Amino acid sequence: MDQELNKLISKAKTGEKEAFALLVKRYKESVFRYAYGMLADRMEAEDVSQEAFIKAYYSLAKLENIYAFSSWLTRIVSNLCYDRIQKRKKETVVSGELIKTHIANNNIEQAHLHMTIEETMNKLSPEHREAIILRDVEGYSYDEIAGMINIPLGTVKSRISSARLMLRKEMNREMED
Amino acid sequence: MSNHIEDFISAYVDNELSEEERQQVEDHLENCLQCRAILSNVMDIKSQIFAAFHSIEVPETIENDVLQAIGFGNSANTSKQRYWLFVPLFTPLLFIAITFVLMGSFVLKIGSVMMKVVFNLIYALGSILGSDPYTIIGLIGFSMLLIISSSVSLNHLLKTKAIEGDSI
Repeated sequence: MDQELNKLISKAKTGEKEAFALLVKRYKESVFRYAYGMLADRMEAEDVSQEAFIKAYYSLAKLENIYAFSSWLTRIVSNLCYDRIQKRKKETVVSGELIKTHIANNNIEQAHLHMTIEETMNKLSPEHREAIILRDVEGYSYDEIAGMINIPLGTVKSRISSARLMLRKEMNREMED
Repeated sequence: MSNHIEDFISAYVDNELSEEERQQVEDHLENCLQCRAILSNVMDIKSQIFAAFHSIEVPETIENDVLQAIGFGNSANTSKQRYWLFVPLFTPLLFIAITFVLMGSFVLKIGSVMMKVVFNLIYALGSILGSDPYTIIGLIGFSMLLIISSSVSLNHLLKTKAIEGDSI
């Protein structure tokens, strides 16, 4: 499976559009989830995801290590998300957005819980949010995250820990309300 | 790790502690209700975050828009379109070829009969016209009359159209 993926990345690196199309198909979900987690806005997340893939396509030839493709792609999305966050500064989250996102979910209780999770996530700093997305949503190890966003392993550990404790506090407050 | 182990619970959940640290955390958890509650909460939050983000629907348009932007599919489409152009060109040719192959002798026979009929008709018409010079003059006069009358009526038609167009 992984070998197949590496072959695909190598082909895409030589400019084969078919191979790159398959990579987009494979990574679009994780790229979108990451962007959505960081920006909490579907439209913006969609824009950033597209921008990231286009950027990746044109700079793929410069990628030295094909084994680092997914972390390289994450870095591209991450940079684009931070640019957006910087641009719009701190805006309040439109909760209608969250409702729309989960409207397809038939279980109302679960949809409500998901909305609460996303709302509390948005109260974290972008750095804490990023650490949680990479760990809990995408399942990267602490070591991988450290390499990906270029921070020491200890910082990853403390970021994830404090992010979770903050989330816990917020969630408990929400439940009490 | 003197009192509570709050800061280690997260890494414990992720299985990112050293063997020694893990043991210490487990020893503490056995006797501390408060830290066990935190552990349970952190595990819940972790799974809820996973579920929440994996339930998000990814827009279908991402893939198409990216592929369009990098020009994927364009070349394939145009080549397909080019092939489609050949379809109306080749279909009648293919049809004629098949017809000839299947019933070539029959078509040839009919063709030769038709040729003979046409040849005979022309011959007959020539002899009729040759036998009476008045017929030729009459025919020429009649055709001249037809041409003049048709041009006059056409002129009249165009004029009325132009007037109608102006009034509109």
